[in-house]
Amino acid sequence: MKLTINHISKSFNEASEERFILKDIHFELNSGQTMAIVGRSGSGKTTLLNILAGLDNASKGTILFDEVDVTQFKEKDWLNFRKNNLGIVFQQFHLINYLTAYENVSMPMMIKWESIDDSSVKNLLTEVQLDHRMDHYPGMLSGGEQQRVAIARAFANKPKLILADEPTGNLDTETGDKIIKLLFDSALNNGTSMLIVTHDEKLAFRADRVLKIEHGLCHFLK
Amino acid sequence: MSFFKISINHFKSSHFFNFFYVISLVIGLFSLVLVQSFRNAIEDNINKKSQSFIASDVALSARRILIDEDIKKWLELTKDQALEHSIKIETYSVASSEDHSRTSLVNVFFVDEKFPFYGGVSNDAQVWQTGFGRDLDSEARVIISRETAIKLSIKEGMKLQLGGRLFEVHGIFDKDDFSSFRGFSLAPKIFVAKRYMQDTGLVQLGSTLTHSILFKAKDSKKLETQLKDLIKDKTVKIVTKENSNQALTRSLSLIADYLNLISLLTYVITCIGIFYFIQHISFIRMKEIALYKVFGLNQFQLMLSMLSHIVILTMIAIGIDIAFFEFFKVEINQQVFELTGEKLNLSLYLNDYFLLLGFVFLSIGVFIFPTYISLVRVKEKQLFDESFKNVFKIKFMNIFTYVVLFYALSFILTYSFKVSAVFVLLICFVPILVFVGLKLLESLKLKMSNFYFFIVFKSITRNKKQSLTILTALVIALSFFNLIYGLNQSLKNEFDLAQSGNRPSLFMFDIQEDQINTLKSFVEKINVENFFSAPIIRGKLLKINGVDHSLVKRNQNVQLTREEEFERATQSRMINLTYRDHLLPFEKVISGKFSQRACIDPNQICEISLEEQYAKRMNLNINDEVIFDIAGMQVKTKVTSIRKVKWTSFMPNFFIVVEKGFLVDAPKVFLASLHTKKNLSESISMINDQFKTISIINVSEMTQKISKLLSSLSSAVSAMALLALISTSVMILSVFVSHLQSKIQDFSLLSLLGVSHKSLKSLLLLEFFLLILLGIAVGTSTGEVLLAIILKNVFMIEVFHLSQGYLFFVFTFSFFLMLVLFIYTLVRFTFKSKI
Repeated sequence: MKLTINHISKSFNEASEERFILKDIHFELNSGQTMAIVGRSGSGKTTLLNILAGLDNASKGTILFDEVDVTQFKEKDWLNFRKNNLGIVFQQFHLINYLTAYENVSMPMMIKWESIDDSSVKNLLTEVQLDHRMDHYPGMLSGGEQQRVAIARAFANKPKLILADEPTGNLDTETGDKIIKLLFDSALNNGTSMLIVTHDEKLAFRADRVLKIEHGLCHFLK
Repeated sequence: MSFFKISINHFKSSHFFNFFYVISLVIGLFSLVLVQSFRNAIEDNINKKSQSFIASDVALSARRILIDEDIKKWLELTKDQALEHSIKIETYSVASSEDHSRTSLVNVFFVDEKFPFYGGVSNDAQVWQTGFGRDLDSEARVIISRETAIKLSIKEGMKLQLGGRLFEVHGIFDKDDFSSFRGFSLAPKIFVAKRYMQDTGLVQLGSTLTHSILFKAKDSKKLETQLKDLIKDKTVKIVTKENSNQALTRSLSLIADYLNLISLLTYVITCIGIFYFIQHISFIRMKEIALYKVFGLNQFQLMLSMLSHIVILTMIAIGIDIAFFEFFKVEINQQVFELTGEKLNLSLYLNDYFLLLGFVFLSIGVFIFPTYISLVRVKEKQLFDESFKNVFKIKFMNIFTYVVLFYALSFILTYSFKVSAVFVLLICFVPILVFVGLKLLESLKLKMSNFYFFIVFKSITRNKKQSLTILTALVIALSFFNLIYGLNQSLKNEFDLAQSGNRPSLFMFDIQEDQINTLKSFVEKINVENFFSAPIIRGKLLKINGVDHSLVKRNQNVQLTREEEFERATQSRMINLTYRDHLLPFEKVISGKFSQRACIDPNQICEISLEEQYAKRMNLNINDEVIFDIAGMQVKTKVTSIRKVKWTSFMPNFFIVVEKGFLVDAPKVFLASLHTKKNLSESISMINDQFKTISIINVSEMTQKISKLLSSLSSAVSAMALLALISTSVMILSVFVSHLQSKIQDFSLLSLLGVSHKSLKSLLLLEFFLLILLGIAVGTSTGEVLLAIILKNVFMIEVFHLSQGYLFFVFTFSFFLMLVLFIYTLVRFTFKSKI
């Protein structure tokens, strides 16, 4: 997998003035690599992630994913792209309340392959140490456990790239550390590239590379 | 910011909620408004005419000839209060044209010259009022109803035959003050002077008649009290303005009660929808409420702001209902006229408006109060936690309160413990059935590889509140609709002329003992089939298991429940007994053994067989001992069997059948039925020619009349059932829209995982389509089960089938409902992922 971000910028018009959230973001991410994106609140980290996930449009620039320019994608193309290539971990977990942990994890498989690989689901849940809770609903799980299920789900469709937006934002420090370790371990085990957005610079330096966004511009810290 | 300002802000911003709340309540309340106005109209009509119903201030009435000695005694002892008195004897007979070519069953009123004290009969040109009996007394003439004149094709001045005498038609009336709702009467009236009664030969021992003494009183209440103290015999009824036309009032009140239950059903469905909706909206507003609390608004102010919004909407809904009612009143009155044959003025009074307000606020309040109270008491921090849903958990006490409330409401509307209990049990049974069904489905752990069915199945079985709401409402509405439709069809079929092969053509009564054999020979000569006769012996019930039942405490000021009313009416009557040693074709013994022996010695205990419902009403079981007074003789009997009787067979059926034996010598009259392929009018004329005193009912005509009545009633009930379905549809739509809002997050996630918008729309629609189909299947099945139980046990009809008309209706209803959901989804389902 190769991800190339070419001079991406995002702006909007406010009182006939152009305001930039992102200006000229560029970097590359290769297969198996992990990158942390850091910056203060409002720096544009989540906006960048949304653009990468197809949830927002860039004002300028291109994104090449395995030489394919995804910025030209229509909605239908993005759906297919996400299904086949991306896994997303959110700050608020976003599990489906009426599905068990097992079912939440198996859902991306159902969407991609229209079948469930039972052993894969169980392995994923074992990896996040929740094999004994697979029949439990999100309401019965703690925040940390829910985030672990969300991580397992993100890997279910064997994505090439994981996007994680403040995955420990809603968790206490100790739990957060465990989650981050889990995330990095899973990425390593599955050979998946990972882009993780965080405001915690200490956590960020666990990644192979660290990109800082400041005033819409980026520079590498690592 | 005051609480009211907050409330107004909510009101302005909650278009969807306001719209659905108001529409739901308008539909839910409308049938209650209609039925209440119908009740008022019946009561007004009867109150207006009550004095003329009995044509007097107070009357004594018995279904036998009153003894002269007793009459003299009563008149003597009440002379201080009774200013005047008049005698009236009412019976049935067949009147015929002078040439005997046409006949008609008539309700004969033999009246004296003082009749009536109040009321009268009239047509456009003439009025016969107070004392018109005098006009009839001088010559052998009658005043007849328009219906009789048409049937006999006679006009004023022509002659008609009544019993053994010819009379001249003195007048023909259209309007009659002595009764109401003429569609319900057995036969049209004819007024004859009492002095010609003997000439007609219509009143003989054992004849079906009512003998009345009418009083004009100085003080009605005092006279009534005197008569109550004087007359202990319960076969003599004391009739006043208040209790006149009791049977009709009872029947009409019963109809109004059942209509009320149907309207309550619609209201229950509305409340289910509103409750779901309130919970949904409250959940959405949790953060907002938390913010207000953080800004310093106290619990009381919060409650007031939320409640005042509801109060405003409720007042709007009631206002719309009342406006609709007033706007469509003329049309509704016309429909009621076509249904009942009576010009009623449906109206609501001031106390009705207050009652309606109280009713609505109580029922809505019971639902809303607990939710709102829980919400305002929760800590702000918890309110910000969206996963905190405990405040919306339905507790057992809430459910219990709702059940008790609806029991109380249905009792107020029907005044019957039993009916209210059955109604509430049925309503409660449905959600329990649905809940258990959902739990069972959930526990199945089906492996589904199809993504759509997997998500939909999970959503239906896990989102129980939503599924329960939709399924409960659908199942209740559809079972009920199916039941009404099926009952109507089955009863219609039962009375259908085409299926009357087994049914008698003519039913005869008032056949004297010395006529029965001659009658039998005569009808054999004119080629009739299946002639069947049964003796009637009049008796009085004296004791049951040693307890005296002959006298009753007259305390008619106490408000009775429907069951008590009916029981009292049953126990007050003279009893008709018969004797035979075999069962009729449509009878079935359900308990004990039907006696086929003879009871020859009047001193021994004879065996009796009771009809099932009669036995239940009288609380009689096998081996109970009953003592009757038959022609002055005390006859001891024991209950040895209980039968099921098919009343719609139109055979001479009886509540009480005694063993054959010594009763053969008791004074009696006969009933008979026969079947003929000949022209019925001709047959009646031939029989009437020979037997002028025998009353003959044309069974086909009677069944047509009943069928028409049933049809009219069924139309009214069906219209109300339709309102219940409309209420259900509105409720499903509002749940669907709420569901859409709450699904945004889930759908956004699914979209991120690669599910297309088209697929998401399909998921949404598939879930609701499945719920509707499931509701239809369960609703139809429960309706069929209820129908089978009622038809078999109440009407003894074994054959029934799923009505094609019902299936067509359900198909159409579900099609349109799904179409509306589909269109709404197409138009409104556009969202951007909101994660």
